[in-house]
Amino acid sequence: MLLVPILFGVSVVVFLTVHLVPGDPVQIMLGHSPSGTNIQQLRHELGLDAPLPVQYLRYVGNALHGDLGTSIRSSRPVIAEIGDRFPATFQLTLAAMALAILLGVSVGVLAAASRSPVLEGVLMLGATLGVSLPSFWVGLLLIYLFALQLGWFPVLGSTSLRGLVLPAVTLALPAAAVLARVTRSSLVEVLHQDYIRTARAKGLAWSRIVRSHALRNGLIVVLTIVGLQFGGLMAGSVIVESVFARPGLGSLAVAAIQSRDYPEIQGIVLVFAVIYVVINLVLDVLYGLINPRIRVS
Amino acid sequence: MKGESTRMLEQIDAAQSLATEAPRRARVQVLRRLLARPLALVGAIIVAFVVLLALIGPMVTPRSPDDIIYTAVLSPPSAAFPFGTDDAGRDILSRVIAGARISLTVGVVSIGIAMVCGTLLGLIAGYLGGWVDQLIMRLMDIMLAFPDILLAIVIIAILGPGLVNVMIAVGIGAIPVYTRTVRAAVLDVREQEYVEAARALGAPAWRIMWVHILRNVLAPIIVLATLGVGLAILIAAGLSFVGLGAQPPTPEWGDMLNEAQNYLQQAWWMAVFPGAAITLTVVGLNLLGDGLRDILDPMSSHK
Repeated sequence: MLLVPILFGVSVVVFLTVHLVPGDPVQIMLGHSPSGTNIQQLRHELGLDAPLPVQYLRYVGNALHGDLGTSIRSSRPVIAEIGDRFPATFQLTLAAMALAILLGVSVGVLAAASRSPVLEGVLMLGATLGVSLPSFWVGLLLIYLFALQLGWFPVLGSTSLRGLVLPAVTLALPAAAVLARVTRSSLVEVLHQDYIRTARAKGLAWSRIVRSHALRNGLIVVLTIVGLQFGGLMAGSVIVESVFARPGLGSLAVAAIQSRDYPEIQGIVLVFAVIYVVINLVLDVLYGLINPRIRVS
Repeated sequence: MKGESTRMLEQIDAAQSLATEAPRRARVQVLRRLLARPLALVGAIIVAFVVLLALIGPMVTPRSPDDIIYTAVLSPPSAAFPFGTDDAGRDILSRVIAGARISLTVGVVSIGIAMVCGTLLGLIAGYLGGWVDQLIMRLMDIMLAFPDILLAIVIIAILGPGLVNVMIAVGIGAIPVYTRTVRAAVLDVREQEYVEAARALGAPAWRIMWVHILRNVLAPIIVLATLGVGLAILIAAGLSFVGLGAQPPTPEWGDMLNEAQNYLQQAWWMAVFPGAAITLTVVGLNLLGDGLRDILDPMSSHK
C-alpha cells in the first residue's frame, strides 16, 4: 500500500513549507516593523518555538482531528475557511471533469474510428490547440463574448448554476484535449488487434465493431488518465477561479500566498494533495476491477 | 597494466567517434524527416520566429515597451498602434514583442533546471540502484502527489512571488518527469554489452554514465524538453496572471492579461494580443515536440 508513505511525505512537505521560508516566517507574516512581543506571541501561537519533530507530530495530530490551525488574515480556523470555499471548487472541478470526458472521449473516438485522414488531422490539431491554450486567456475571451457582448451568462463572481457554465468550459478544455489524444491512441491500438480483424472479416458493420468490440478495451487506459486529469483540474481551478472571481479554494490559495498566510496555504495544499492521492488510489483499484489482465499479474 | 586499459579506453572512444558519424548522418535525417511533416514544420517555423523576436526584439519594436503616450490611452488598433495601447498609454505591440524574450527565458531556464536536476537524479537512481534508487524515486512520488501547478505554488509560497522564483518553482515542479524517463532508460542500457565492456576496462562510473548512457537517453529528453518549455511558459504566464509571478510594469504576457482583465469591456485588444502570443508560442513548441517525438521514437506514433 503506497498510500501511507506518500501521505506521510505530503504531510512532511506541507509541514516544512513554513520552515523553509528564507528569513523569519513570523516576521514576514506580521509584515513591516512588528514589535518584539508580537513576534514572540505569534511564534508561540503557531507552536514554532518547540523542537521540529514535536512540531510535526503536533501538526499531524491536529490535522487528523480536523484542526489545521488558525488563519492569520481572518483569525478564523483554517478548516472553516476551507469548508466555506470547498463547495464552489468541488462543483467547478466536477462539472469540468464531466464536460472534459464527454468532449474528449467523443473527439478521440471519432478521430480513431473516422478512417478519414483529413477528419483525424483536424480533430487532432484541435487537441493540440486545446493543450496549448492558456486557460486564463480562454476565460477572458469567453467572458468578453458570452457575458459582456451577448449577455447570456453572468459576468463575475456568480456561484449560480448559470455562472458555472463558462468557468467549467474554460477549465475543461485542456483536460478534454488530453483525453482526446489518449482515447485516440488507445483506440487506434485496439483497432489493430486480431479480434477486430476477425470481426470485420465476418462482416460486422464498422460502427458496431467500434462500439461493442473496441471501445470497451480502448477506454480502460482513459480511466487512469481521468485520475491524473482530476489533479490537473483541481490545480487549474486556482487560475480559473481567479479569472471568474469565483470564491473557491483556488482563489483563496492565491490570496493566502499574497498575504503570506502560512497556516491557510498549508491547509489548502494539504487538502488538494490528499484528495488527489485518494482519488488516484480509488481509480487504481477500479482499474484492476475493470481490467482482468491487471488482476492476474 | 593501467596504461594498457587507458589505451583500450581510447580505442573505444575512437570507435565511438567513428560511430558518431552515423548519428551525424542521423541528425541530417531527423531534420529532413522533420521538414517532411507539415505540422512539425509549421511548429518549427513558429518557434524560430519567436526565438528571433526574443533575440532582436528591442531592435524591431516600434517603441520602448515602457513608453507612456498620454494622448493615446486605451486607443484601439490602428496604423500607428497595430495592437492598440493599454490603460497607461503603452504600445501593446512593443510590449508583446518584448514579452517574447521574457517568456522564452522563463521557459528555457525552468526546463533547464528541471532537465539538469532530473537527469542527474535519474542517472544516479538508475545506475546505483538499491536504497539510493528507492530514496530518490519515493521523493519523486511525493512530488508527484502535488498535482500540476500545485507544487510550483507550494514553492512560490515558500520563496515568495516574483519572476525568478516562478522559474525556480516551475523548474523544480518538472523534475520528476525527467528523473523517471532517464532512470527507465538507464535501467534499459545498464546491462548492455558495451557498458559492461567499458566497466570491465575500469572506466569510472561517472564516465560510463556520461559517455555511454546519457547519449542513449538524449532523444527522449529532447522531446520532453521541447514540450516542457511550452508547458513551462503556460504555467509561468498563469502564475503571473494571478499575481504570483512577474510584477507590473514588466511586459510579461501573463501579467499583461492580468491588467487587461479590468478593461475587458472598453479594450478587448489588451486581452487578445498577449494571449494570442502565448498561444502561438506554445502551439509552435507543441507541434515541434510532437513531430520530434514521432521521428525520434517511431514506436510511439503510427502503428
